[in-house]
Order: sequence, then C-alpha cells, then structure tokens
Amino acid sequence: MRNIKYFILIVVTLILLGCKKEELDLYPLTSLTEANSYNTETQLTQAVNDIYRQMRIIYNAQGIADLFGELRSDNTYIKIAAAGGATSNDIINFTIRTDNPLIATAWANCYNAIFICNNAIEQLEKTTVVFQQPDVKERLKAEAVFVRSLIYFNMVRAWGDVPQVLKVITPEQSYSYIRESKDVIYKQIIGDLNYSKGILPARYTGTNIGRITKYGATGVLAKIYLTLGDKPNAEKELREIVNSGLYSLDANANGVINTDDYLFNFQATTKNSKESVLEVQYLGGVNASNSNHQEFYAPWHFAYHLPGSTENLLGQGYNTPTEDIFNEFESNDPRKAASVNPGFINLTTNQFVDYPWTPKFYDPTWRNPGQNFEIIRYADILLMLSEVTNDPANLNMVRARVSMPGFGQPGFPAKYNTLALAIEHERRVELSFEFHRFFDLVRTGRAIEVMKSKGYKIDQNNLFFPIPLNTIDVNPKITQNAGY
Amino acid sequence: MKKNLCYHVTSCFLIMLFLTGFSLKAKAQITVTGSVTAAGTNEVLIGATVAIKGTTLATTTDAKGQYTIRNVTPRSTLLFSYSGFGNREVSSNGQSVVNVVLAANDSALQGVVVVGYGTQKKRNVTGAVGSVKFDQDISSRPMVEFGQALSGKVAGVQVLTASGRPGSSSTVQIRGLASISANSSPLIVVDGNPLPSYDLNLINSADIESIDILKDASSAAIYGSRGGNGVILITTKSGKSGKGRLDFSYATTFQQAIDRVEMMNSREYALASIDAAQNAWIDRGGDPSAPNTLAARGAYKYTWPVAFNNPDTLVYTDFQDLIFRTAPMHKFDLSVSGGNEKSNYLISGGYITQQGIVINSDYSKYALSIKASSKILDWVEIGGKLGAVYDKSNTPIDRITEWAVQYPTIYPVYGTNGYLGDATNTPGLQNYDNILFRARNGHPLYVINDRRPSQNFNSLGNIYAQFEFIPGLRLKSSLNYFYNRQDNSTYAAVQHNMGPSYNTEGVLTGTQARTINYNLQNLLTYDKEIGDHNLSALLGYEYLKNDFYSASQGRNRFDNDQIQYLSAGQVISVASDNATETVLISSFARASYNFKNKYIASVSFRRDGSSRFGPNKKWGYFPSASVGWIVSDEVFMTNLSQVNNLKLRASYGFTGNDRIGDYRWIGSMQQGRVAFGTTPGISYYPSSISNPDLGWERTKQFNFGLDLGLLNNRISLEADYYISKSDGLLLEVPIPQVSGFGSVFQNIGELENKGIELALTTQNMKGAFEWSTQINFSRNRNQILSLGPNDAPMNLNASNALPVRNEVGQPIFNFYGYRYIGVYKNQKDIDSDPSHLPGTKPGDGRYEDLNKDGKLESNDRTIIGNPAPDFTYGITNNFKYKNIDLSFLFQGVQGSEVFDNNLRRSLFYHEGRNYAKSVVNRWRSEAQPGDGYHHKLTVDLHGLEQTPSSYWIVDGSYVRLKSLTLGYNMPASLISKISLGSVRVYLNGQNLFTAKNANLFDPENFSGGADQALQRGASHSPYPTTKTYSLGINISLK
Repeated sequence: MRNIKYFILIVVTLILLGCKKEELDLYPLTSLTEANSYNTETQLTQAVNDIYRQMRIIYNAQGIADLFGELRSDNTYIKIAAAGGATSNDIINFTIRTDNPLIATAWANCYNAIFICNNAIEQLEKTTVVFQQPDVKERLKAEAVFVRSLIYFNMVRAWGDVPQVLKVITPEQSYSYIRESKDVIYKQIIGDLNYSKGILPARYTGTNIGRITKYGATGVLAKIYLTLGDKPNAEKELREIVNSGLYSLDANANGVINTDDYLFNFQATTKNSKESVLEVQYLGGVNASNSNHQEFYAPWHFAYHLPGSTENLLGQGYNTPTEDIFNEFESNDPRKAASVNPGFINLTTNQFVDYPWTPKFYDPTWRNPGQNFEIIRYADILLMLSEVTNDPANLNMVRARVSMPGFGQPGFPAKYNTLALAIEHERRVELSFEFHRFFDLVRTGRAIEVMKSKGYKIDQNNLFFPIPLNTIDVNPKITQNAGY
Repeated sequence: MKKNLCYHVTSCFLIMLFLTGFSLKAKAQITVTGSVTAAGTNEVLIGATVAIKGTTLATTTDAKGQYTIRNVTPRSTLLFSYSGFGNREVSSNGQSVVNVVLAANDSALQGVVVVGYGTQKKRNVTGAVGSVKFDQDISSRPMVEFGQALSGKVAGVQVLTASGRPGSSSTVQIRGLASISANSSPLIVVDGNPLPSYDLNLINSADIESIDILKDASSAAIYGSRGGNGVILITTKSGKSGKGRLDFSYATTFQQAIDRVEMMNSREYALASIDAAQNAWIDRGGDPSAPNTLAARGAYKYTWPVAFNNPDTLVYTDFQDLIFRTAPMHKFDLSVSGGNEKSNYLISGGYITQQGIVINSDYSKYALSIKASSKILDWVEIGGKLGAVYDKSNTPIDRITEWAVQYPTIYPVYGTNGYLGDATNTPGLQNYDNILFRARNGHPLYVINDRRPSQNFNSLGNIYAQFEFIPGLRLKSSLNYFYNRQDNSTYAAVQHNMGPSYNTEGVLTGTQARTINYNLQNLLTYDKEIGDHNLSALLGYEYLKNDFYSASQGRNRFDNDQIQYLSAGQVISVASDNATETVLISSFARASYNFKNKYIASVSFRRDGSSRFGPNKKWGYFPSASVGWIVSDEVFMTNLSQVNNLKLRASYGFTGNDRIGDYRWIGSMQQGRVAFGTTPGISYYPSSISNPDLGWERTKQFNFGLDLGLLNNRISLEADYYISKSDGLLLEVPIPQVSGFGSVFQNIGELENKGIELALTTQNMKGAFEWSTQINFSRNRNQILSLGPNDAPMNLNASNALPVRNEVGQPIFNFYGYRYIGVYKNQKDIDSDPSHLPGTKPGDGRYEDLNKDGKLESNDRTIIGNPAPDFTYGITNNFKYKNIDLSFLFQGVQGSEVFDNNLRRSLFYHEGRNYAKSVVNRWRSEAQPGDGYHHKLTVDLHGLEQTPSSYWIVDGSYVRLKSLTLGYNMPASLISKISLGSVRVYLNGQNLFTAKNANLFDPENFSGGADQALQRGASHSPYPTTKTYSLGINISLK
C-alpha cells in the first residue's frame, strides 16, 4: 500500500515535468504577422498593392479630397442626412470646430496611408528576395513613392504645413514629428514624383492595367506646378501628356468625339478609358473593392430609388447639389442632366420628391458598386493647358465634345467674359462632384470672393482646415492653423 | 526558466512528503455510539457527519439520529457536522457514548467559506469575502440566472441588469472598475473550474449551494492574473450521506415590464408639432399669421397637418401597449441525491420556459447535472461532475422598445391598405411623410418579421482524485473542462407590412462559435495542528488551454420570407472565420497559520505564464499577505460580555487582469481587397503595432476590516475599507497619428478605487416570532491617476451620440459635453449673455460658458455625469412565525447618472418622433415660459440641440423593492402523514416597486452586453427589466 502512495506522487510529479515553456509562444492562427509577410515576391507585391486600397480610402466619399474639394464648395449642401449631418454642415458653412470628427478621420486616414507607403518602400529596399524581373521591384517602389506624394499634395492643400514622415517610425519617434513648412513638402514631392515618373511605364498590359503610369505622375506634377503658380513647368508636364498621344477625349475609343464620350466616363463599368490619366480602381461585386460614392451622395430618403429600379436605396444624403450648381449649367448643356438630377418619384405615393442628387456615380448594382473614380482625366489636362497658355483652343475642345459653343464663339455665355472666368465656369460644370471645385477656387485665389458672393461667411482662415484637436491633445507641440 | 519552475514544484512535493513521514501507530481503540439532535427543537438529525478529527474515518447518523464509529482512541476528538448547523468538536476521553446537540447555524461566524482552491472557517478569514448561501429565502426567488441572487445582498458587489431580455446575464461589478480597455467582469469559478467567459446562464441556479465572492486582492491573489476584477466562487450542491432524497420544485411566474416611459399623448404631440413648425417659421422671419399652407410658407415643414388643429379628434395608439405583454414563465427543478459515509451522488435536472415581456421574445433552458464522489479506499476519494445546459431564445430587433416609446401616438397600428400606420397611409398626413415619423425608421412592427434565434450549449465538468497520504496531507488532482457552442443567426425579412415597394432584399447571417477549455490542477494541501499552532498549506500547479473557433456565413437576396435558411439566399455575402488559442501555466502556494485561533496570518504567491502577452512579459508574479486578530478572545476582553466577537483584519495583495483578446501584442497583417481594372487582387497591410512588452494589468489592494459581534451575535457588523491601485493598465494609448496609427496597446496608466463596505446583521426578535435584518452599504470612489505619455484625455464613444471621457484626476467613463442651464426667457436674458450663439431667440436653450471668455466653444465642454453610483445599499428583513415566513429586500443606488438617448432622439434628432412627457412644460412664449428648463421646439435646429450636453443626462438613483417573499412550510406532523419530507409553498414578487426620478423603464438598464463597461449608463430604451409575480412549491421526499 505504501508503495502505491509513492507511485502516485511520482506519476503526478512526472506530469508536472511535462510542461513546456514553448506552449506560451502562440501566434495568430487566422492571419499572418509582420514576421512572415515579406518573404516572397508575391508577398512583397501584395504589401505594395495595399497602396491602391489606400488611394481608395483617400478618394472615397468623405475622404480628404471630397471634404475639401467638394463638400466645402458651392456645389454641394446637405438637405437632410443620416445622423443629422451636423459635422458636415460645419464644413459647408465654414463653422468647423477643431474636434470635427470627419476631419480627424481624414487626417488619420492620410497618415495611415503614408505609413503603408513608407512600409512598402522600406520592405522593398531591405528585402533580399530576388524578383524574377528586377525592374518590377523598382516599379513597385516608384508606385508607393507616387501614392505618398499624392497624399501629401492633398494634405498641404487642405491643412497647409503638416508633419512630413518619409519612413516608418516608432510611436516614441512620432512625438518629434511636428509641422513642416509646405514649401519643404512641395519640394520633396516634386522630387519624388520626378523619381516615380522616371521609372513608371507609360502604359501597362493585362492585369496590371490600372496601376500608376508615368503620365499619372506627370499629371499630378503639372497640377502641383499650377498650384504653385509655376506655369512654365506646368505647361511642360501637360504637353508631355498631350504629346504622348496615349490620351484623348474619345473616351469610348470609337473614333468619334461627342457627348457619348463624356457620358462614357460615368458609366459604372468604364475602367481606365482613353480619357483616364489617373484613376482610383474600384471593383463591383461581393467581397471586392466597392466604392461608396453613390450610397453616400444618394438622398437620405426612404422612398429614394435609382432610375429604373423599384428597390429602395437609402442614401446618406451628403453632397446634395445646390441650386447654384443647377444654375451654373447652360440650359442646353447635355452635361447638366448627367451631373444633377432634381429629385425622384416616390413609388408609393406617385409624387415627385424634391431632393436633388448627382447621377455621376450611378451604378445599378448599388449594393456592391464598383465605379472607378477619376482623379485626373484628359479634359482636366486640356483645361489646365488652356489656363497655363491663355489659349482657349483646349478649353474649346472640351466644350466641342458636348456640342457647346467655344469661348469667343457665338452663343458662349456673355457673363464669362474673360478666359479665366470661362475656364472657371468650364471646370465647374465639366468636373462637378469630382473633387475639384474648392481646390480650384483656392488655387486661383478666387475662393473668398466667389463664396462670399453666394452668401457664405468665409475669410482667409477658412482656406485651410483646422488641425484635428486630438492630434494636438496627443502632441501639444503641433500648432493649430490661424483662426481655429 | 519554465523547466526550473517544474523542478521547484516537484522538489517541494518530495520534500514535504519526506519531512512528514508515514507512520501510523496502533493505539487502544474503542467504538463510540450516540445520537445527534438539534438544539431547541430536539429533532434528531439524520445524516449528520461524525468524524474522528485528523483522520479520514467518518460515519453518518441514521434515520433515528444514531451513529456508531469504530477505531476511536481515548485521545481522539470527534467532529460533528451537519449542513445548516454549527460544527462541534467533542473529546472522546474514552467514553463509549457521546450524545451531541448541534446549534442551528444562525451565526454566520460558525460557517465555512469557500476561498480560492479550498475552504476556510469564517473565523479564520483575513481577507474580504462575501457569501450568499442559496437558502430557503433565495430559492424562493425563481430566477433564470444566478446574478439576480446577488443583487443587494453583498456589500461592494453591484449587480446591474443591463436588460430584461430573457437569457441575458446580469453585470456583476466588484469594488468598482479597475480597467479601462480590458474586460472588467469577475472571474467565475464553478467547483474549482475557472471559466473562460462571463456568462451567468451556464449553470442552473437550482444546482447552486452557495456563492462566495473574493473581493479583496489578498483573497483573489491566488487567482493571479485573472483575479483583478474579483472572483465569484460557485459551489454546487452535493449528495448528503443518509437516506436518499428527492427534491422537486415548481414555480409559475407572471412577468411585466417594470415601468413605461412617459411620452406625450396625441393632443400634446400635435400642439408640440405646431409649435415646432410655427417657431421655425417665425425665427426665419415669417409672418406669424401667414396661412397654414404650402403656398404661404414655402415648405411643408413650416406648416402642420390641418387635423392637428383639432387635436382631440386624433387617433391615440399606445405603442408600448402594443409590444409589451404579461408573460408567463414556468420553472421546474428535480434532483435526486443521497449517499453514505463513503459515497454520495446527486442528479438534477431543470427546465425553464419563458415568454419575454416584449412580443417575439422567448427563452427556454434545459439543465442536467450529475455529481458523485466515492472513497474507494480510506485514503483515496474519486469524484466528478458533469453538467450541461442548453438554452435557446428568440429576440426581436433591439430597437423595438425604443421605437415603441418614440413612435408618435397619432398613428393607428395599421393604416389604409392594412399597412403599418404612418404619414403615407393616414388621411390628411401624406404631405408630412418626411416631417413626421415614418414607419420605416420607427414603427415597432416594421421589422417584426425578422428572426433572431440563438442557441447555446454549455457543458462543464471535472474528474478528480484526492489522496490522503497521512492525516492532513492531501493531494488533489483534477481535470476540469468547459465546452461551449453558440449558434446565432439574424434573418432580416423581405416583408415589412408596408406593401411591396418597401420590401427589402432579405439578409441572413449566422455565426457558430465553439470554445473548448480544459485545465489540469494539482493541489497539495497540508493541515496540521501542533498544540496552539495551526498550519494549513497549499501548493498548486495549474495548466489551462482554451481553444476557440467561430465561423460566420451570410447570404442576401431572399425572394420572400418562406425559407429562412442560407439555401434560399441568392448571393453569398459573408464567409469568414476566427480561431484563437490561449495557454496559461501557473504555480501557486499559500500558507495560513494561526496561534491559539487568535492570531491569524496568511501568505500566498502565484506565478502565471500566459500566451496572451508579449515575449518580454509572459510571466507575472502575484504575492499577497494578510493578518487577523480575534481581539474578543483576549483575556482583557472577557469583562466586556456584550462583545462576543471582535476581529481585526488587514491584507495586501497583487492581482492582475488578462481579459484582453489573444495575440494583442503582435502586429498582425490583415487582408485587403484591391483591383486593377476588372482584375480583383488582394493586399496585405499591418493593422497594429507590435508591443513585445505588453503584459498584465496589475492591481494592488490594501484592505482593512473589522468584524464585530454583540449580545451573543444578536448584532453583528462587518466593515471593510479598501484602497486599490491598478497600474500598467491595458490601454489603447493615443499616439501621434503620424506614426500611421491612432493608438498602441500598452500597459500605461494608473487607476485608483477606494471605498468602504458595511454589512450589519441584527436578530431583532427571537422566539416564536423571529425577526432579523441585514443591511449592507457600499461606497466606491474611482479616480484616474495617470494616462499615457502626456496624460492626454481620452474620448471614447460609448454610443454614437455621447462621448465618454477619461482624464487624470477624474473617475473613468465620465460623460462629457456642454452644461445646459435652462432657457433664455427673453431678449434681455440673451443680451446680458455675451456667449449666446448667433441667431439665438427667446426660448432657446442656454449653455454655460465655463471659461467665461464670452464665447461658447468646444473648450466649454465639461464633465456632465458619471454612471457609477455614489453609494449602493440593500436592506433585507426576515420574519418568521411558526411555519410562516416573510422576507423583503429593498435595494438602492444613489448618485449615478444616465445618458437618456430617448430624450436626445425625441428632442433633437427629432424627425417627428414623439416627445418625452416633460416637454409639455417647455417655453412657449414669454407669457407661457414653462418650467424655465425645457426650451422651445423648432424644426430648424440652430443651437447646440444636437450636441452632447447635460440636457440629455438624467439622475439614475433609485430604490426598489427587489424581492418580497411570503412562504409557508407545512408542519412536520402533517407531512409525515403523507410520507413527505417537507413541503413549502411561497409567493414571491420581484421589482414590485421602484422609486426613481428618471423617465426610463429602469435606470439600471443600459445598452450593451453585461461585460461592456463602456456602455454603462447609456440608455437607448433597452429591453426593460421585468416585474414578476410568482407562486412556487418545493417538495422533498426522504
């Protein structure tokens, strides 16, 4: 009996000896970790691919380009919106508080995207993986450098001076990153874009179509020079695009340039057309890269439905077209009906509901839409070229496409009596709801005058957004913009 | 490192083994017989245990209360015990007959409390442990989950009913919140088996014998990294030796909503709507006497339906009446148990079927349990337990109660065409579709065709072997397991009772999750008395593994609502899964010592290794120490005959909190979707920052306690003061966004909780008429001491509406916003306030310019409330006369605040929702200024109406009659004639009466899960608590 007692003790003791420290070293079962994510060419490519997801985030509805370029302009307002739309209204009415959550989110998304780009660049630089085609590695890096520059370009226009982060930093290091002068940032991104432009191909084939091209980088460079008032350099870049012969207003590439080409741009399935210089890639369908513009901008009304559909689509009611943008269109301009729609029929009551919306983002597969978004299209290039050359020829090409009389031709509206005004009008109607309007007004120095004339209470300080309050809370060394 | 530990444990075992030796010497042995009876009644006690102290020899009394025990030496001490009675020790002194009278256990001091990995005499407890015995009183409260039994019963333990939805768990909070980001629910241990999740439904309350709550850190430190929120120890019933018995109980209950929210009636709503339109019209410069037409006023919102001019002719529908019902519940429990001096068993089954008080909600629960143990040798006991609980429920959409409150009463339930009543199908209101409230976002029956079934299967059990090598030295080796399987699905229906144009696509999503958790425990204990020295030691090892897997799937586009399974959906929308593993390896020790049963000291130590934490912080150490002094046993106290018990206790200990998700320390890569043209692709991106230093959240707590018994324990008081500091808080620390991330999960920040707890028990009357009272009171103060590198305040969003703010020097989870200070009564009021907002008119709301800079800006926001109470209390009174007993429990909470989202939505996020009744007293004109608090109504909001302010905060204090029980035990003379052991019938009512200020169903309810601390105090009119009336019967056959 005594022996059994000892035996039990020994067995239990042996069980205890079986424990292993390694059992505590557990790693996620359903996802990769950073340690095992950059070990093959495919993995590195997938890491870089995320910059295209980031481009989507930046150009999604309520991304920084939308908030500053469109929502803040005289093109849009909010009639009724989900959750009251109070924070959006503050942006529209130039009464932004520093704790505006939309601006805080946009800021956070920008720096997260910059981190993704920096991480992709660093992983490519330090990897020992040998790519099957060595130039692909260089190209991927140039793509990431491009996207980072594009984000900074949006940020300096929206906020002015911002912290400049060009590498992956630790949380501890992040406290020492304070606002950098926008001149320094412009200098950096001009250099970076020139680097990317030198490496990126003019065009892609097969499954790479949609990646950033050389001329995408060129187009952004041109816009930067134009923003900085450097017309000669802007012209040089714009001419490179025109002279490449790769782009045309014949968006549908049927050999005829007409209104159909304009409309072609806004069809749900149009991807990377002849007119597309720089485009955000979305894809419709379940579990794909869906866009959110249509849902965000559709009326927040329970009876709303897309044309030809009897299903209710409850939109979120943002970026509702103003009466002013309705009036901006010349009455016979075919772009009007393609850009603004005054309302819809309530199918239950058969009554017309006065609730304007823009059909520019129309996609009948509205549950999982995938319309691409054009950051720069060829019409924009031509209008910029008119602006830097003071030659209406390019402007008139854009108007001729939709059968509208050119500047200086009979029938052109008399109130746009200078080329500058004609371009301002044309950019507004041609590019409405494509996140250009307020950027254009600020760039041309017309923002305060134009907005004031329409009753907006705006001053010089409103030409920048506030730095988000939580950014300053976390790091008090970050300064606030004037007036906030 | 780990290997070293294993060797340590092993060598400790061996050393103890050899030191103690193994000699049992033969002595002169006799056989002792006798009887055991109850004091006072002289009833014989059947099945009382008689044991020879210090040995494993024991027997039980027979049906006549007689016992016979062999092998008694002249120096043996006999130990007599019986459930519900105090133990007695009697020296045999060589006598062959020992008759013993046991006193009923009305003095808690004699009791035994369960502590971590063992039990302790109440007398020797040096920490702070609260106990709830599931006695006759508590088993006369038909409850679905056991949290309800704790409400108002234990000082320092707050029980919140988040919602009254059948099947939901109560929230149990022990001594305040000690964590910001990690889960703050206590650890639940069932018969030594620590459970991985917080769910109070996983055990049948009828199986519970007692619940002991480890409140202070020295008691909980033995649970180390899981003890930081306190520990709830559940002891289930076991078979008693003696004749087999059968217990049956049945209760039938009627449940009702505890209260209604008072909203405007149709007349008041019509007048308010006219005011809102007219005020907005005037504010924009309109002529007040302009005709009430679209032509004259330009927009429908500045007009009102003509019918509103005759408000008394409007329909009145109480939508709360529509969704609430008086709902029955039936509860059956049956158990069979028995045993002898060597073995015992208990088999039990329970069944609950419950309708919810809200339509479309129901619940049922099936429970089975088997528990047995046997001494196969005089030194080996083997036992085990197997329990299973299966429950299933149906619930309507969460917002149905909110909608029933807010939907205007002017609509019929069904309008023209038989469609749900709203503006579009009510004659005269069609033009106001967009201004008055719509069925689509508020009719309580709009989504009544949705289905949300849920099924849960829990099983927990263990098998153990206990060896007693020499008297006092025991090794208990057990394997515990827990299994959980959950099936939840949500079907969003196509049909909405609104006609085909309102049909939606139909969406079904389902999730199946399973958890397998097992743990291996080896406990070596040694109890030894040497003269005046009493030693009790514990050495333990525990290995725990948790394995979780869940899968979710969904399909969209159902043609109709006929088939509500995935197969009928046309588009696959969701297909995803999640899998995690957790390992915890622990070793621990405790030594308790007392000298002359007067001077008590205890130390414990635990070392935990967890897979959850970073490579640099895998191991944590949790020591504790406590001392106690029973002053009343000192000679100098003998003259103070009134004081029969005075004990002082002090303790200090460390506990931890590991309640975060797995793998939180490691930066994981998420999969993203990209496209190039029409080619889909994937991307990977880092979604968080790795932190190899991520470790435990640590709580250090000091506890000082005093136990006092006066007048032969007629009056007894337990008082505790504690101060605890939690540091290394697991916190999503905000960091500069330029790093790419808004926060990093770190151990930063410090939080303090301090408080007092008082529990007073008095025997007011004894004799034929008995009356006793228990009062408990607790008060906790919580303060944040530090937060991250800059101590930057953290704003968290509890709901989409009201920020919850953490800042240094303040309690956690403060409500944050502007301070509302009433109405601008007239233009003079406005002119004299430089901070008024542009466009302010008389009757508008006024907010305090806190920094007096003449501008109302975001820096004028401040703390406008906190959901934690200033203090809580409970008072129980028990009366007994002959066979009749009566008890009632009042329970209350004082000084908490609630964010009333119903008030917010109905006033400011208006869209035509009904208004709270109090808005009748609004400002209407300078001649009718109302109560000076409720501002005027307008359809054109222009101030801070939509911005979080104290206007939305209401007082959460209440006092309620939590439970009232009237019981009758049939006299023994009667039931013995019908061969029954005992019969009890009772009437019970719960939550029968509540006194409160808030216009809420129940200020205790909040929107969110039982363990979501951040949601506390945020009320979106959740599923209300129930008020119940029960009739029950308990029958025992012996």
